[in-house]
Amino acid sequence: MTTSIVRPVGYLDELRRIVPTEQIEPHATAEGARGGSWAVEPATQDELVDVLKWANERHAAVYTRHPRPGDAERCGARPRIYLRGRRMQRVGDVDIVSGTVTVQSGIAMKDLHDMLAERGFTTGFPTRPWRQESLGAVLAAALDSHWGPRYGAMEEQVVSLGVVFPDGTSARSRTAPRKAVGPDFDRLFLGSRGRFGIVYQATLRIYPSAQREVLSYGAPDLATALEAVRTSLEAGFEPRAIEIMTPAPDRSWGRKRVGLTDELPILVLVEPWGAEGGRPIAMVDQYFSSQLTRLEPPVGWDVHEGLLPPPRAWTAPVVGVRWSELMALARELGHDVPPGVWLVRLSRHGGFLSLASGIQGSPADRVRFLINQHLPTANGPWHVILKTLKDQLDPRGILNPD
Amino acid sequence: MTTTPTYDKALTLCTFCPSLCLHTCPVSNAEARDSVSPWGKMSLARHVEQGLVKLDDEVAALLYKCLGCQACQQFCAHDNPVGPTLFEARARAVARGVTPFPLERFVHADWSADEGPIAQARDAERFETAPAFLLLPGHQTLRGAPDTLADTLALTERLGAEELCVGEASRLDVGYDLWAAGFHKEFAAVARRVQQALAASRQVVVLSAEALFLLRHIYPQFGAPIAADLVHVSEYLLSLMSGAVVERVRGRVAYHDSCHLARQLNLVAPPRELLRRVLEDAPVELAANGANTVCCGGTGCLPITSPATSREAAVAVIELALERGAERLVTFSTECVAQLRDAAGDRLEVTHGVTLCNQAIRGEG
Repeated sequence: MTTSIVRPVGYLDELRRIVPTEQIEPHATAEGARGGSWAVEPATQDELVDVLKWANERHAAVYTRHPRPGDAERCGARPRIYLRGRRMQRVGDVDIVSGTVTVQSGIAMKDLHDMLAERGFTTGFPTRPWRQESLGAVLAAALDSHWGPRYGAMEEQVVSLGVVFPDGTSARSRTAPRKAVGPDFDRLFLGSRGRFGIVYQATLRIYPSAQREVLSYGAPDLATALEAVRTSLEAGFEPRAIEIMTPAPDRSWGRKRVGLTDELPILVLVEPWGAEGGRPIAMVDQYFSSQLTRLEPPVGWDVHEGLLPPPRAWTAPVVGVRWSELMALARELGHDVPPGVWLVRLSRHGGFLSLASGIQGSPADRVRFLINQHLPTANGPWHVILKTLKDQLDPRGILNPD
Repeated sequence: MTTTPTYDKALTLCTFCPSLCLHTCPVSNAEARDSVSPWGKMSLARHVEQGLVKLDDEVAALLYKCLGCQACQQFCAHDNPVGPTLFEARARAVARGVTPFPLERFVHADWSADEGPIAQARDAERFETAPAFLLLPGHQTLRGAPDTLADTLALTERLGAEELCVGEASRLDVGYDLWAAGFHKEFAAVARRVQQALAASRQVVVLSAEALFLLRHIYPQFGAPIAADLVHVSEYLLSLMSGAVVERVRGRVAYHDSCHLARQLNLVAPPRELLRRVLEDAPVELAANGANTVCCGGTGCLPITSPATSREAAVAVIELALERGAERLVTFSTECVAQLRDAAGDRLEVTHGVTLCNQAIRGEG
């Protein structure tokens, strides 16, 4: 039996009219695929706009990620474009008076932070976990609470965005307080996984570089860890950030390095405000040391990287959970706390809970059950809103089609 | 000028915060610019202090984009005093010779004794050179809401408190704009003069919320404490009105808390108590009220340095009142009255609480 293959030569010629040849890389699988597949590297906003307009004319699928095995099958005869941001890394402006930096979204987080560090500044985003990822990827990631800014949310760090919509039109948000302009344009795209538009430029807040101090403690079980945190909040300590975590299963070396043992499997990280605000660091330390066991991870060693899968591998959902539910979970788990549990932004209301993918066993199932209870239902209002937005902004399913 | 730990600490706290109070600032809401947010201005002041940014007129002008209304402080996890710190930053800029706005704009001459409300008081035989019970209107009252002075005199006469008189000191400006703009040397001279003028009075009833705040809290810092008992007109009237016969005023009347009264002088209850005594129905509360009130933009010398922004802030308050279906908006601060009247135009009647009380006493409800 023979299969007729449509050669997408015409598409490639058309793409070459939009971007220079060296910015197009045909994928090896393109020959065999019915629609063709290319990595395209636009260098300007105009090129990005033209690529999307072309995609609309040809009903192509435009992805903002790497190719995946099922893409060809999913797209059938549709040509596929995989956008790369490596040519859109220009720094538009570092405005110290306004406290902002304006950059194109293709810049790697490491390059952005290095450039700012030369001037004695940094962004509100953590400098390490995302260092190889582009700014656009970080802004589109829905992992704000876990890998995002330690204090405040991603929205507070992003002053304005430039976005190209799936139909090839573009818009730029104004630097405006949320309250002043009604619904927040930026929020539509932050953490949206590239469903509604492509961020080509962002203006971020910048801060003078400063040292953070994080205190580490070990706890015998989740209930003890949560109780120590809860009572500290009730006592008015309210540090800048509190996290509770158990190392991922393949991080035994990191677990040992941080000082966790079978008797102390739970890690509690407390970040006081520092010398300028909140309770004095010594007082915070004294309080938590009286409840938990003080640990001394190596100085300069990144606890998150040493104990958890990297951000790109963290595909598990994140949900907000109330204190009562957290305490009930802790009582139920007892000493059997699964690895890969990560609870962040603990406050008087509760915290944001996630469990690393692939963890097996009944304790993990119990944690996953609680997380699933808080996930929006498939036909709930949240899904309806997202679907309506997607249908309105991308009626032809051009951008990152499912 | 040396850097004090408090000043440094306040700047640092803001600089490293991701601007969580952004939505509370009337100025950044009006201008929709991040550089005029509390974070933006405080960061800038710190950058200037650290030598990261050169202080020039353009940079210094941004420090004047603050009302000192303390809405951001109300929301701040650290209760960080943004307003006073930025006012201090202005003073430091002035001390370094950087004055984006000339001194003359903040100096207000003594009000003439022969015209306007002071002359009316003289005609009504309520003027004494140095009365024991002095009514102090404040510059903003005389300029922006002169009817309030006449209403106060008429009302107190009806209530049998004719000992309250206008005096020579009533013509003076207490120097709020000078202080807020950072001209501390000139302000200190004004403060000493006002202190001397008030020396003969036992009690000073103040109409202007700005003036009362300044006399109570700032004058002592400049070595010019006022010996007399300082009261706001709402506190003064509350006791006088207790047994008074009134014809209650009808209609849907909303109350706007002045930021100075509610946040800096903690006068939230007395104005409401007065209104409950003279209104047919309880006053309508705006969405932002009490200590969470929104500033009308009439203070912090913003009407002088950024009149358009100041007006935008007032429009936002008017919108809050209209949103509640108010037919009339009442406030107990004369700065607010002048500011809100201008922004409301024909859309809403704006009156001082004293005027409302006067109407009730006169049976014009």
